[in-house]
This record gives sequence, C-alpha cells and structure tokens, in this order.
Amino acid sequence: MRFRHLQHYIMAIMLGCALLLSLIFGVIAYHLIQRQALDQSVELTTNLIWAVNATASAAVFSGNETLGRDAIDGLLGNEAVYSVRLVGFADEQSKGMTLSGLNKAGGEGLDTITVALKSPFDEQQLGELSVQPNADWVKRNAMDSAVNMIVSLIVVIFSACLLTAQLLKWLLSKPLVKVVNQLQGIKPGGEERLNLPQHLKSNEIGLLVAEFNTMLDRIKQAILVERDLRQGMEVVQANLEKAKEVAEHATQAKSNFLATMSHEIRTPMNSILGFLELALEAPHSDKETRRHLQIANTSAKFLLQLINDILDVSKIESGKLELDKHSFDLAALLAEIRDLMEIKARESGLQLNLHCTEPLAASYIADPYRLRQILINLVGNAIKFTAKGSVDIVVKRISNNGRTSHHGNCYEFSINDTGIGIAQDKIAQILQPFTQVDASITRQFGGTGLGTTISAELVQLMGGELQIQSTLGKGSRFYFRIELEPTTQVAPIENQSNIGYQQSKALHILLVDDVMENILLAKIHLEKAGHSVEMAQNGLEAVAATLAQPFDLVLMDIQMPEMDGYDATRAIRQQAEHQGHNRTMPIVAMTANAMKEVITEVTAAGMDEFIVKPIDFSHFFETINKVTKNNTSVVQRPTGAIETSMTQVVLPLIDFDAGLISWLDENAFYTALHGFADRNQETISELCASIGVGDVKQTDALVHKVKGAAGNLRLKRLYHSSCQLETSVNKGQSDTINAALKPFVQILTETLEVIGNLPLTTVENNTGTRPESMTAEQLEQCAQCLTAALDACERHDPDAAEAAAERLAEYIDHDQLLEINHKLQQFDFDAALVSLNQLAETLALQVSTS
Amino acid sequence: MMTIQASVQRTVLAKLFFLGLLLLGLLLPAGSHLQADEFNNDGSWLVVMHLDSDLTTLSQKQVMSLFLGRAQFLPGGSRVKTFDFPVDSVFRANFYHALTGKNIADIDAYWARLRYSGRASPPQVLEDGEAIMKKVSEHKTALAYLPSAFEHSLADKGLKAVLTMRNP
Repeated sequence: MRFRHLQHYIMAIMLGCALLLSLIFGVIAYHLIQRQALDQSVELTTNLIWAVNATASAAVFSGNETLGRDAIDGLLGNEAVYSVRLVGFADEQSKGMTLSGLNKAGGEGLDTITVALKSPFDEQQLGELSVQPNADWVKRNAMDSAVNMIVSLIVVIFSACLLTAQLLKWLLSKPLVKVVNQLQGIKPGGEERLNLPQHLKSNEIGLLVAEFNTMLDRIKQAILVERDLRQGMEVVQANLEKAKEVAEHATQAKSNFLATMSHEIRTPMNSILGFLELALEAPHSDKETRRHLQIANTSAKFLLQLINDILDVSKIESGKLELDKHSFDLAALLAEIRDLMEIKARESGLQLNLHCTEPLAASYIADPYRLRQILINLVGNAIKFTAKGSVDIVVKRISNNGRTSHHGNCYEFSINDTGIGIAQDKIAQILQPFTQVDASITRQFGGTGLGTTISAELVQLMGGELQIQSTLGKGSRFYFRIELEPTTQVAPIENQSNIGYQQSKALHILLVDDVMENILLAKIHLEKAGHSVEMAQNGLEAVAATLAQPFDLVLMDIQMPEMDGYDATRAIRQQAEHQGHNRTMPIVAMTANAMKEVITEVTAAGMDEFIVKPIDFSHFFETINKVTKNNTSVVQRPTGAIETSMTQVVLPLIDFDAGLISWLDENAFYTALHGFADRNQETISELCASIGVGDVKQTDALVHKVKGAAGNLRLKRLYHSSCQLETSVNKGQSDTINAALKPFVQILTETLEVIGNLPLTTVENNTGTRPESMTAEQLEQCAQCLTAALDACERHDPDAAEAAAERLAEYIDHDQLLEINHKLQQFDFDAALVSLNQLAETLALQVSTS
Repeated sequence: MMTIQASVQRTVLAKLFFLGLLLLGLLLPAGSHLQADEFNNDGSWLVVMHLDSDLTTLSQKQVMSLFLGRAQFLPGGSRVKTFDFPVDSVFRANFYHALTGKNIADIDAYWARLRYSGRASPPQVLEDGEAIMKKVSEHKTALAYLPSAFEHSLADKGLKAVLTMRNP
C-alpha cells in the first residue's frame, strides 16, 4: 500500500466536512439574506422616497408636472424601484395631477409603499407618492450577497483546514517521522534511545516514546539474559562434545583393542590347533592322550569360534563389515546347514526339521557365507536352549505386507524351537552384545551371547530385522525377512572339504614366518604331504634364500621384523626380473589380518594368493595346488574366500568327543568304526559302478547307507559329504553328481585310512570295573565325593564341583572323570550331572543327592 | 366684525410690538449694520394690492399660495402679478418667515427646485419698498408685501392692505 501522510488524511476529511458545511450554510444563508434583502429594499425605497419627498412636495404644491416627472425619474433611476405613482390632490387653488412611471429595466413589483405628500410650508396633505420596490433587485442582491458570503465562508473554512493540517503536521506527523527515523537507527540490545524535544515529551507521543524506550531496555535485558544462557549452553555443548569425543574415542579404542586382541590371539591359536590336529592324527598315541588332545582340540576350536565372533562384533561396531554378494544355491545352503546341525541336534536328542515350502530358484544373489553364519548361529542357539522336542527351520516367501506369497523376492527365515523360551521383558536384551537373559543362563548353558548379536547385525546389513517371539517355557521363534534376488547366474560349486595331501609332484617350498611354531606346524603338514621345506624368519632371509636357489612356492608371512612380507615380495619380484629367471615363482601370503585393505595390498605387492591364519589345511593345500598348477592365477573373490575360511566350521574327520558321548564305551566305538571300515572297502567301486550304469536307486541306497553309518559314527566330514552327494543324486544331474562324488570318494578313502590306523581295542581296559585294590572305606569316601560333586552340580557351583571331582580322582582313574572335568570347565552342569550319574552307575555306587 | 377683529388685532399688535421692542433691544448691538429703513420694521407685514382691486381681504393661506407659485390666479380669476424685495434683504426673509414659518433658505431651496424644472415663475424682484409701491399702484392685479411702517402711506400711493401679518 502506498504511504500516505497522516496530515493528508486529516486534511482530506476536514475539507470534505468543510464543503458539506459550506453547502448547508450557503442554503440557509441564501434564505436569510433574501429576507434581509427584502427588508433592505423596503428601507432603501423608503429612503429614496424621503430623498425625493421635498421635490415631490414642491411639484405637487406648485402643480409643476415637470418637477414631478423629475422626481419620478429620479426614483426610477434606482434599480430597487419598480414603479412610481405621484398624485396631487385637486383643490380650489390647484387642479391636481397624477403622474406614474415604470422602471425601464423591468422586473416585478413588490408591495406598494405609499407616502403622503405634504405642503412644503404647512401641514396640509397635498397628495401622495406610491412606490413599488423591485423584486428582481431583491433577488439579485440576495444572490450576490449569498455568493459572497459562501465564497468567504469557503475561503475561511479551507484556510482553517489548511492551518489545522499544518498544525497537525507540526504536532503529530513531524514528531512521528522523527521517531521513525530514530527507530531505524536503533538496533535491539544497543545503547541508543529515542529522543524527543522537551515540548513533545508531555503528550501522547512522549508517552509512546517513553514506553518504547522502556521496552528497549527490557529487550536489552532479555538479550543479555539470553546471551548468558547461550554462553552457558555453549559451555555445556563444548563439554558434551568433549565427552562425546572421549566416548567415541573409547569405543574406537575398544574396537581396535578387540580387533588387535583377536588378531594376537589367533596367531598362537594357529599353532595350537595345528599341532593338536597333528597329534590327533598320529597313529601311535595312546587312548588317554588322545582323549586329552581331543578335549584340548574342542576347547581350542571353541575358543577360535569365540575369537571370530568377537572380531565380527568389533568389525560390525566399527562399520568395517561389508557383505560380499554373489550368486549361490539357497537350497544347497539350507541342506548343508540342516546336515551340519542335525548331528548336533541328534546329540541333544532333538529333531531338526527343514521346511521349505517354496520352490526355490537355482541361484540367488546375496552373501551366502553371512547367511549361513546367521542360520548356524540361530539354529545352534535353538538347539542349545532346547531340552526336548524339535527345532524347525522354516523358509517362506512372503509379500511386502507380511503374508505368505508366491511372488516377490522377500523371504522369511524362521527358527522355531520348543526350548526354555525368553521372558517378554528380556527379549530386547537378547540382541545386546555379551548379554544373555540372566547370569544363571550363562552358568547353565555357557556361551558368550555374541551369536544373536552378530546375527541381528548381519540381518540388518542385509536389509532385514531379526525379530523374536517367545513364550517362557514353551519355546522361541527367531525370524527375519530379507530380500533375495533370484539370478540366472549359475552358482559356483561350494568349496568342498577335500584335503589334498596327495600332490602330483613334490614341491620345493620356502616358508617365511617369524613365529617358529607357525613354521614348524606348516612344515610338518607340508613334509607329510611330501614336500621339501626351507625356512626363513624374516623378509631379508627370504630374499637371500630365493637369491640362492629357486623355489616352486614361497609361503610368506606379512608382519615380520627386519623386512615385512610386502617388501620381501617386491624385492623378490624385482630381483627375479633383474636376473630373468623363475619369473613366475608363486608367492602366497599368510596373514592373520583378513581385512580388505590388507588383501588389496597383498595383491598390489605382487603376491599370487593368500591364506588366513589360523591355517585351515584343507584350504591351504587347495590354494597351494591352485597356485602351483596355474602360476598366472590371480586372486579371485578374495574377501569371500577369507570369510569362508574364518567362519566355516571346520569339520573333523572323526568327532571322537561326540562319538564317545553317544557310544559311551570307547571299545564299542572303535569296534564299530572298524566294522564300518570293513563293510565299506568295496563301497567306492560299487558306487562308481552304479553311477556308471545310471542306477539312481542303487546309488541312492549306497550313499544313504554310508550317510547313516557316518552319522552314527560321528564321521562328520564324511556325513556332510554324503549328504551333498545324496542331494545331487536325488536331483539326478550327472555333472553335479560327479562334482559331489569326487570329494566324497576322497573323504571316504581318507576316513577308511584313518580308521585303519586306529587300534582295534584300547590299550588299557578298566572301564566299567571298579579297581580291585579299593577297600570298602575307600569306596565309601569315593561315594561321598561323588555325592558332593553331584550336589555341587545341582547348585551350579563350579568350584565345589571341581574340588569334589579332584578328590574323586584320588580313588578312581576313569575316562569319564576327564569328561566330567571338561564339562565343568565349560560350566555345562547338566551334562556333568548326566556323566556323574553314569559314573556312579558303572562303579555300582549308591549315591543320594539332596 | 371688523371692530372685534381690529380690537383683537390691536391687542395682538400691542403685544407684538412690546415683544418686538424687547427683541430689538436684544438684537440691536449685533445688528448695528442694519439699514435705517429696517429699524422701522416692528415685525408686522402688510400684504398690499391696488386700491382699485375688487379684493378687500386675502387669507394668509391664499397669500402664501399666490406668493409661492401654487396659485397663479386671484380669487376673481385674474392672473396675479407678485413683487418681491431683493433676495438678500431682511424684509424678504422676515416676510416669508412670517408667512410660512420657514427660513428663507427653505424658501430659496423651494424656488431653486422649481427654477431647475424651467417652469418657475417667482415674484418679480424690485429694489425697495418705493419701487414696489410704484409697481403695485400701476397694476390692478399686482400683489406685494410691505413692512407695517408703510401703513400710513398706502392710501397716498393708491394701495390697500388686504392682509396684515404679525411676526410670531
């Protein structure tokens, strides 16, 4: 809107009022003036009459008509007169006369004014003079007067208006504009105040300005308060930021610490596992040593798994975990998990069912290794917390709104169990790292609680969410929904667990590692496979060795003193180029750090392949084969290969622990094993024959037989392999059968070989008999100890239970004691109770527990 | 009737005379410049006509109408011929004052108006009483006025008074 001055508004209003008033006054005044003009005309006429009275008298007196005419003309010469009539009365001395005249200008006569004419010399009436005033004159005169008056009125009123407006401008507008101008220069919080001349301070504008100044003061105060607050806030924020930085730093440090620790622990684990495996495979060890080694092996593997979990958690927390997506066969993956976990389920007396109602595509794009990890974790948990009943793996294809659907790529994986369940208020805690429902659970079932955390994080990485439904005492349901994209790409055959001890030719290998145990372990394995091995303890030695003589293969550790693996490799490559010999000498890196950056650097340094420590020897030999056969091989899918070796459960050829648990008697177990070996000497040839003729039924029967026996005898690797073979046989595709057959034959041959090395019976057979030398008193004490141990187990008191078991060892020497100790160390009280009861039974001791 | 009238006139004249003396006594020091003939005027005036005229008396009103132009004819029907003293003479002023009760200025103004119309016929002005008496004696319809001092010489000259006026 356009700016308009206040004074203009006021002036406009005043002028309007003035115009109206002038009009009204004008009309009223015109009427008043007209009346006045009438009176005036009468008065004027009367005056005129008096003016000519003497002449008229003289005329009438003397009878002089000329003089009378003069008088009449004199009167008519005035506009105010309309008509004149002069009458002289006749008497004895005069004949009288009558004269009259009309105004030439015309007009209209008003009421006649008649005056008696007397003699100039006495009082005698001689005649009369009658005059009519002119109405036109009256009107004209009234009009003129009215116009004059109205014009004057308007001039006066307008002048008054202008004056008022000017006054208002001076009194109102100007001070206001002044105030506004001052206002424009005022900033909130500043020191400036509005100023007015003294004469304006006592009116409304003064009040306004005063109030405004007060307001400015208040604003300034408010700003000051706010500034203080803000400064306070800034301090608080700075403190918070500092605290946040500290906290972040601490978390980072924790993650780094975990990663470093895991790495540091994996290095010695490498040698522990390796040597344990070597010791277990040695044919000459006696039964007891074998048991001890077996327990150590199990614990070490458990420890390795734990470390892997911790490493995963730290990787997830630091956001370094990335999915490696490629095509894979979901059906095969599910079958593999079923087969793998079925053994464990059977050990706990549970049934493991896989329900997959959907027809699955040949291959999907996802990260199969992580999916496998999730499922194994969840199924493992379900088995662990289920005493009896079943564990079901259900795979459903669902639509986006959660209903079962035959379209779309969303799959729901759920693992249902009939276990102890979780209280409603504890469900959220499950997914926290290092948390189980409560401490007693930890004591009862063991475990770190990392499994579910890792699974939940992995599911989240895959775009889903791990959800839990549970009823305390009835069971739990862990489920998640993820998108799996079907693809036409053929899924690569999963790496088979083929241990290739056999090598087409003996290789000359240089082993470079600063940790002596690692070198020794690898050396033993390699020499066993018929290779000749040279050793070097750092990069410099390695470079010197390759300079002295060529090798078929160099196994290079990365982190070493003096010169690390990268530099050594570069030096070797450089000198090879310089000398022009053995240009393609393969170099395989060995590293405990399987981070992506490391892999990239390995490739950049010119190494052909890499192996992750602790060394999985099946993978180790596979890699060696690949590298030595194809010298130009490049690193393919490095991350995937590494993750596999880290997360895959390395299956033992024979699981002595599980075998003994289910067979109880070692003799019986060994006998059964030998029986299996005897029965299956011809199986391979029979199998080849039946496959050759394409007899699916016969092949299936043979494989099923082997599978069943392998399951019972805890020949895990064989069981797994036969499961795969059976699946491919049922599918009826000859190429997949052949692919699965090769490792099956290999493993079966190997298993038979290992069984052949086992003693027929155990060296010392004291199982099931009580020592002869025991007195009744000793027996009594023995029973007491046993009772104490049972009580301690009931109370979940590991210290007391172990003490009791130790005392028990003074009296009896039994394999089962080792077992019990092992269980106690794992805090597996339920299992320890079972074992203790069995021991009591075999010793024929009466024990009573409270 | 005449006697009564005369006796009344006599008493009135006596009173006038006495008053006139009184006035004269008062005016004398101021009007020392007055002519010798004017001393004789006691304020009474004689309207005179030719001795042979048919008229014996005229009323003051008739005299006024005749002298001031209202009437041009005598009651007998003959045209009158009027004579006057000079314009600035004391006789004239006093006579008209006595006749109309007005100042001589008013009379002059009256004549001025009439003269202006061009139809004025004022009395013919003669230089003194002698000339007036002579003229009146010559014309039968002449009419003039004289101070009362001339009363005794009227008949000698062939004149008669038709009206005697006392100054108020």
